[in-house]
Amino acid sequence: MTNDMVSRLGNAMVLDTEGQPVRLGSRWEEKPIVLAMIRHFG
Amino acid sequence: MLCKEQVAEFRDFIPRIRAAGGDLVVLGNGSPQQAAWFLEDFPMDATVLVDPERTTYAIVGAMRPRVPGIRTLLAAWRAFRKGFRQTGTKGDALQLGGVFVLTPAPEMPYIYLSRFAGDHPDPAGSVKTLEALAGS
Repeated sequence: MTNDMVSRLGNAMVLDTEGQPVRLGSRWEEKPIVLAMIRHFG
Repeated sequence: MLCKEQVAEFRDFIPRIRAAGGDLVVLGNGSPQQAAWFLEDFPMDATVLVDPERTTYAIVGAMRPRVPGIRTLLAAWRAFRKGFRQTGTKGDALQLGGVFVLTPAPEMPYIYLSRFAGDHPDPAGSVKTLEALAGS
């Protein structure tokens, strides 16, 4: 379950602040991260 | 303002995250422009990304209650008393989030899903997980 979640999360495409696509998993390929998924920017 | 409160809490832990060899990534559900505005108002040394389609929120099973509950109102009052103010809703206000630790393994040794708006875990929990990984 968690392995599948990590795989799907890692393959998900998101955007940086300039609108460029980023594969989310690229963020933790080389080092661990704390991922804080917030509600909105307000 | 609840999101600002959460980000402020994590911002204080960035030195410990870095010392453990990790990074902080903040993912919101607004637009890239909204994230850029947020960073202007609330600068931090972290990667900020957006998922306007909320695909990642669905993957982790983040909740999206239909209406805010009393716990959210209490959390909002807590944040207000700390000096945080709402400056517009930039994204889906009902979408809840969570906090996760992800590793190159790849593994997810820390998972926290918010149960209501303002339900933020103490950042020390995820940071201690990172520090344990660094020490192992």
